[in-house]
Amino acid sequence: MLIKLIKYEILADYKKYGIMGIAIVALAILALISEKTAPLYGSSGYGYSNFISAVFAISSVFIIFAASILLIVLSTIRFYKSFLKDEGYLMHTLPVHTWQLIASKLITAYIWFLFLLIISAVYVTILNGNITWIKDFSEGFSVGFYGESEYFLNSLMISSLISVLLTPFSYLAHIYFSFALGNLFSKNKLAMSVVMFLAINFAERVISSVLMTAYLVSINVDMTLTEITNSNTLLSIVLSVIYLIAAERIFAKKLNLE
Amino acid sequence: MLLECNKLCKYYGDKAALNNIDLQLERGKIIGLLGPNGSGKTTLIKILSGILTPSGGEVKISDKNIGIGTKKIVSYLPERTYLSDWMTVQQTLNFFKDFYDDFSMETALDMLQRLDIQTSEKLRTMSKGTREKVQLILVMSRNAELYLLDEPIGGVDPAARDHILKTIISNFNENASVIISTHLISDVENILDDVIFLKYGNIVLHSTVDEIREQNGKSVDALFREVFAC
Amino acid sequence: MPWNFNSNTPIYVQIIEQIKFSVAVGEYKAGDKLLSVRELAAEAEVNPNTMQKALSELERGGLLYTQRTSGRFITNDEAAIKKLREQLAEDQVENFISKMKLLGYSPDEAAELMKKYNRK
Repeated sequence: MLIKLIKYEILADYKKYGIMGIAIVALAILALISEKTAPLYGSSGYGYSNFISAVFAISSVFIIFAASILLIVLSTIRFYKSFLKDEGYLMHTLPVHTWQLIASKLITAYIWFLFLLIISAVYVTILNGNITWIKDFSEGFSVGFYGESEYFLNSLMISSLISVLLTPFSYLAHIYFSFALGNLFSKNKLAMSVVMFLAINFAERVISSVLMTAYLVSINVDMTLTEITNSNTLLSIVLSVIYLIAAERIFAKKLNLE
Repeated sequence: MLLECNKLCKYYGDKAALNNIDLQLERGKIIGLLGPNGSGKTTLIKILSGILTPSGGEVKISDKNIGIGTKKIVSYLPERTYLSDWMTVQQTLNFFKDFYDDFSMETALDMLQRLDIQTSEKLRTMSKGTREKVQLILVMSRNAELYLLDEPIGGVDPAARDHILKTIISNFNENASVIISTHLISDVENILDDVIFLKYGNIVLHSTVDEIREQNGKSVDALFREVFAC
Repeated sequence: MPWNFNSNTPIYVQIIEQIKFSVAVGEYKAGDKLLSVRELAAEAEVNPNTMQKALSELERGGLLYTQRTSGRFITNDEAAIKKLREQLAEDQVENFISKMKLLGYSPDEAAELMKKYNRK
């Protein structure tokens, strides 16, 4: 049943992500063409091509960021429409468990996330004209934080990578839980979901800073950046799992579609 | 007993949409759930289909609590369009086939053909009326035990109305029951076994159509107008 | 056959009357096979249970009979059909006479009017 649900989740949004993917690749190719064809010292002024290159170079930093935001936005819209609006009448009367419905949405979001990561990598590769950027990036990262360039994959990189990969998970868990809490209100469910989202966000910040401060002050002052990243990630995983379980319980036991 | 409700209530805030409903329904019946707007018809149907949680009381369908087990045997037609508009008719058929073991592709294709609806058509390009017909076909092509039809003839023309009623008559079997909620009583009166009148969340009458006609010498529609006269 | 229902008497009673009438006027002949309950119900747009109830009643009265494998038929008993026709005719006369009485005509006067009407 889970596989079938995922199949229809993918079918529902593949065009949107497809267009996004094509747009990103097209942008990269456009950048490449403009870089190659623009005169290095044109009549319009000095360094026109350099300017374009610079813009596209910066864009490659932001592209994955932008793609992640789009992913969160699209996944949230999809969740809201198919879970709590008209289509919810069909989804919630299917003979499937609530956790399967939620899991299918989460897994599908990860499939798109993976897709966008790959597309982003393609974008950067096209812009650079080769794939040595991976090594550059990794080296830059290592030098920046460690002052040593020999490690291709050091522990901080892995920690950071895990934390990046978990970002959609924690965001979506947070959003699903907000919708679940909003659903408990008898009126203005959507508005209450937004309020809940902000409230959870605030509570999370407070908890996390209190925990961090307590940890740093009382136990271990010499925490490395890797350890901080790891404990943040761990906290985020724990909270996200709690959110997901709570959301599942609420939707399973207290569902009230308007 | 196919359906049993004991002291079923539903509150929205402090307003009671259903007020201690006791109800028992047998198999093999077509039941009219009648009442003006806001009487609790949709609320009751939504509870039975599992998309509303009751505030109190107990519901059993075929001796099961509402959940995955009842969703397998309940076929629900809401009063709104619930199909994703990116789907073609064929995709909606596949969807039902994928999720409902009791779905008959053959029955559905046969009904679609009779209504001249192409399976390659996208729901997005269809009129609201046609989309409603597709939904009814999907719902009635399941071999379910309880059909919940919320206002199935609400906005359709008389020809479609006749077809919908014929579809309901020819698809249900003696192991199943159909609950039709409507405020257009005269249109459905002839196909009903039993009627339930709901008023402000209470059942004010539960009787057979024959009894009503024999005892009162008038139609259910006429009786309804009396009971709900302002 | 076309079905017409009023809204004040139970549907099954009206179905019984209408089938009887169809047999009496020869729309259904002795030994004719009827459609299935479901088909008849769909045709008349009535509940299958109601149709079933009406047909069972007619069967009890002897106008219909069921063969277990092949379906439901109009009786082969021509005498019974003749009797049914007479019965329905008698009902019509009774109805006519009682209405005429209300209008102030005696049965003889009513019969006289009837003859006049027929000569026109």
